[in-house]
Amino acid sequence: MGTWRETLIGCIAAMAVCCAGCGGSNQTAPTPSNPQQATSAFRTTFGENPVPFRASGCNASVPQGWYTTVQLQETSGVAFRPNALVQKLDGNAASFLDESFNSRFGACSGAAFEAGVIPANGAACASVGVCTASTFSSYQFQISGTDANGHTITYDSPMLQLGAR
Amino acid sequence: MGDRGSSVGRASRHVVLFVGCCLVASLAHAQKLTIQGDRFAIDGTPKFLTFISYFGAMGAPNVIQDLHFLKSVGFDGVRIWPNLDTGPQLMNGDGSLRPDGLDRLLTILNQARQERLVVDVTFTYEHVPGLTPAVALIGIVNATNALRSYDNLLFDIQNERNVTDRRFMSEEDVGRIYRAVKAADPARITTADNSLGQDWGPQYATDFTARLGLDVVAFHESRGPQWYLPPFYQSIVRTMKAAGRPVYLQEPNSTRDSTYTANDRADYFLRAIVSAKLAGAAAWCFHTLLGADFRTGLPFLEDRLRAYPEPEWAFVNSLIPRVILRTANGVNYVVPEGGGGAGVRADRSIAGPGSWEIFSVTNEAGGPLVSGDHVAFATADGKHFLQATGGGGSTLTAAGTSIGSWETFTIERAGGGPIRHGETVTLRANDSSWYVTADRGGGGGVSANSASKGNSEAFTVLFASPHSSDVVPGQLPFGTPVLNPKRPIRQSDPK
Repeated sequence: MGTWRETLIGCIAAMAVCCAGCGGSNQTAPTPSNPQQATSAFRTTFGENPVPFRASGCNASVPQGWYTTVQLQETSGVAFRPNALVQKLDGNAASFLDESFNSRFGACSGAAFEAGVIPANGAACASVGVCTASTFSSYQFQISGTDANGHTITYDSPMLQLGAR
Repeated sequence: MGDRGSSVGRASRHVVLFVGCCLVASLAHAQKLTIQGDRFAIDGTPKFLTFISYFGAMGAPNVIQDLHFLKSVGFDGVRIWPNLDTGPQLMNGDGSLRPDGLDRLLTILNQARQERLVVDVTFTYEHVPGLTPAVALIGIVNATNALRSYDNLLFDIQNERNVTDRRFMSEEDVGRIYRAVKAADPARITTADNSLGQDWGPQYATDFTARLGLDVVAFHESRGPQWYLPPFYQSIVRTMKAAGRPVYLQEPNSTRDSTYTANDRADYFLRAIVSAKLAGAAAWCFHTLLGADFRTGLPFLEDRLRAYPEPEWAFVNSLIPRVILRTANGVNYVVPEGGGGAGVRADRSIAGPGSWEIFSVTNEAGGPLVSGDHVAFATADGKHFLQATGGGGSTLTAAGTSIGSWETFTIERAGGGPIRHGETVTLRANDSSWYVTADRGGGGGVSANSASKGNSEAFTVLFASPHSSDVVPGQLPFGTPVLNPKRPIRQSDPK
């Protein structure tokens, strides 16, 4: 019995990793504190991908750049508490995009938002990208945090392709 | 019968109760214009008032929508001419009030009361055939009696009474009418304006006001090339404040008047109004003639203003400033978490897209921002305000849902003066000694618990809305101001 249970858990874990991979994103293996309990998983949907470079409308002080909306959906029914956000340009963490998750992500249209939490099966939304006169070709965000079952998770979003300038 | 009578009685009581509730609700919503020394006050609180010329209100086909729009963009009041001949007129030539004109005026005033707008009711006897200054006294007293229940008005007995054409009204006539108005309604704030571009004009207006005991110095100032600059306003306002009454600058330079210079861009008007406020004026009017005649042309005042990106639409969009607070590290902005309703951070990146870092500012002092004003910051979700928990000494959140003492901050800059684009300011929780402070000067949390001001308590104000060209030297260029915020589709007024 013990062998069967271990095999089943292993299969579930492998499927979770596969599903995350299917979305074009990467989710690191959760900390095995409660391996029998479900783990937060995410699906990212960009408003447009690739996103074109726009000459205006990025933010109030830097009008030009690449920007679009994103919805970060929790899909496995486990609430998640993010504690770090890293935004990457061309694969490298961009220090000039250092922000907290709560400064960037909020409620999706028409939904309630609890700061610092992505509810089970809930979503957080944001405007993402970069306002700049420089040239980049991709954007990606990474969130880290802990889910309601105590798993420590780091999730990398799919790449957002930045259109030619 | 007994049952029926009882039923009728109950119904009557319900009707009375309902009407009473409506009355109480209406009065609770109304605002009261008074005078405190040389300032106007709204519901007992002194406030610099920003008016707009809306002379043709009596003939405006969508006055409900017009007034709602004007309030929504930040005007405090309108200046109307109820005897203007571009619409129904209030008075007959014998001084009696025309029922249709009075109905129309009451509609305007009721709507203004609903919107909490002040109305400058300026009479122009010359527009009514047969009306003379002597008969105008009867008409204005009739209007005084008819409008006694309105607390949000002031009367101007005669527009440009000193101009020696058909507008002229002698000092004696003005005095007689003023005394008659006060006899009918002692509480009615009443003045009569003078239009004098000469150097001695302000002194004349001051003396005139003092001799007659008028409540307000209402003045149409010189429209020379310096009309918008601080020295000009300091000179005329200082002179007129000697009367000890509110100085109301009722007709500064008008927009696109080909006779005069410096009226083609909002920038002039933005500089004029801040000059007026700093000089100590009590009120200032944005003088445009787009609302003078609605017999032809666009039916909504908003569309008329929008049709002129400069100066009208840019000026209109400047009245409720939308600002960004940049932290001392130069790379982060203050931002409400999730756009509002939760905590506040000071780590929004200047390179990140979006607009959560933009706050709409309500200035309780009225008019453009100057050092020492009490302000509130509305968040991007349109539902919340920055709030100093406990009134200061604790956290800063964006959880306030209305403006109270916890949502009020004193904005200050070194040396005082206008809060310009790029100005470094501090924010103090209301009148407390607690300053808003960004952890490590930005990039982290923010709270309202600093007992002293230093680098971490310094924030740079960047305007996202149209602002004066008088900016802090050395500021980098800023994005194009947003001139056309989306507005709901309007319905025409019910006919």
